[in-house]
Amino acid sequence: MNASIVFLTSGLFLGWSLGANDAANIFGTAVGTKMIRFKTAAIISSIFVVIGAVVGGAGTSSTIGKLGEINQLPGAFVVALSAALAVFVMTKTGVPVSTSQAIIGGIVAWNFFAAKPTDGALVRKIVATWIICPLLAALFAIILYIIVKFLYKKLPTHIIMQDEIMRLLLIITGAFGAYSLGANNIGNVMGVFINSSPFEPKHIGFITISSEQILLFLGGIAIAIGIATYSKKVMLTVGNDIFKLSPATAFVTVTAQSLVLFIFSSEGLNNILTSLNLPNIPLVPVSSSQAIVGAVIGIGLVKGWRNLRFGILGKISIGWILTPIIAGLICYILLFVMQNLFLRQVF
Amino acid sequence: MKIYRSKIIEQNIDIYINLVITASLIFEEGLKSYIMENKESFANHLKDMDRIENDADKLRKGIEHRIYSKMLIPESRGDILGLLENLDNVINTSKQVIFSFDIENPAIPKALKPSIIELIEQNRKAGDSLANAVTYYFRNSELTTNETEKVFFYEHEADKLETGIKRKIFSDESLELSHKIHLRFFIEKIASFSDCCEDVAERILISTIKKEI
Repeated sequence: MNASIVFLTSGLFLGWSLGANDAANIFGTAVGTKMIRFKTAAIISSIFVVIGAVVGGAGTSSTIGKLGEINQLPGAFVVALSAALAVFVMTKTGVPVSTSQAIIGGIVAWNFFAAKPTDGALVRKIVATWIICPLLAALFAIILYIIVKFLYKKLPTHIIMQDEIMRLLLIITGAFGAYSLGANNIGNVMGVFINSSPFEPKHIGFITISSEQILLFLGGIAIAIGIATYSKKVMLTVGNDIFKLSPATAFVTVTAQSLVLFIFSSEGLNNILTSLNLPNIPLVPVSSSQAIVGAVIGIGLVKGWRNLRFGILGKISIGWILTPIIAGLICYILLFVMQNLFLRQVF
Repeated sequence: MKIYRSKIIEQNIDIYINLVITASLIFEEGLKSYIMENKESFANHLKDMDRIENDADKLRKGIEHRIYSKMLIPESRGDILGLLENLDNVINTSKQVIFSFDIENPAIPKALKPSIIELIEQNRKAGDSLANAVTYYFRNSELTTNETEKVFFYEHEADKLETGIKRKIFSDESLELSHKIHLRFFIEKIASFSDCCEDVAERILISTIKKEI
């Protein structure tokens, strides 16, 4: 059991780096512009990210589990580690990189290595969500921006009261964002371990906690630790250097991003769509960074084309292709090393 | 509790804007009393102006302290504090002008009185529009530009009147050169009130653009 937990460390590390980086997408502007204290942001996002992971994380984790039924812990360890390494390499190039894309590359490489078939239809669905994610975030941001601007015009409020209302809204949308981040991105962190979980179900009184829920909880805690220990620097960078949003536009972008993440992880919403005979939304981990870039571009479109830097779109598209390929290559090599050098069964 | 805290600051800002309006009115009425040689009324306006300047100072410092200590409006805090300090200049200028009249006691030739009164009125109008612009800046910035435009208009009118009066002074051969220079100093002093209003209006315009979401 203890040796098994060592193999979870790559997933937990992935969770830590997700917390350190992606919490900035939720609270970066609010903390950077001093609307919300870092301590408040860290507490709220840590709590809601764990709730999101445990309550709403099953959908995306199971999709990841279906794409590659990684049945050995060393194999899952390598897939998560290669995703983390790929994210590290791509981040150095300045591309808004996605853990989701890296983990998919790793899983497909594991399928190749283990000579298991890859569900082509599922891969196509997942790739489609990568493209749809920033577009949908842009669309939501445009709609929300128009609504917020309309409300600013129609409901004139004193500047001091506006400030108080905006702080409250940033906290509420930040909590929603953290929940959605936990629910959607926990699949990246723990999805590959679902089929090789080292835990047994636990019974506490009348409640039974499944092995999957224990994994999701651990992943959530790893993300929360990432937020508490390392996200402050990233938040201040995002808040002050990269986007330079006003609190109102920050509210719009964070809400748009959170809605996208929520849509791609909500089993409840999918059940409603099914009951209405509408097509299902695939429950897939998507990139919160690319969603927020999409949302910022959406606001840029409403404000005027001239404000836009189209280069960033090119960088995102490069990320879609390069991240999974790099992660896949690293994964294939590491699987070979793990199997032949460390003599561990990886499938 | 936070809503209550905001309400107090809002009320204090409103009171401060009212003090600007009152200072502008005392500026007008006090100077008119001086020109119409109503000494008792002028003395009363002097006292009122002194009290208002003191009250405005205390209130402004209180607002600034609260905004900083409670970490309010971090995005536009600098703009708002700058705006309040510039508004303080408007009140200070009105006090300085009225006190200069009291100290130096300039003799106003009868022929100039109507033009000077008109100059005073244009300056007061600039002060009124400025107070409206500030109110809109805090509550509904969509309407701010209408009022700042009025400030610019009245300042321009005041400039034209100022030049006209100075020409009249220096073309009047019955006046001593020292008297002419003394009068010119006071005409420029009166007109400095609307110049001050113009400076604040320009600040408001920029802050309004920055505030747009």
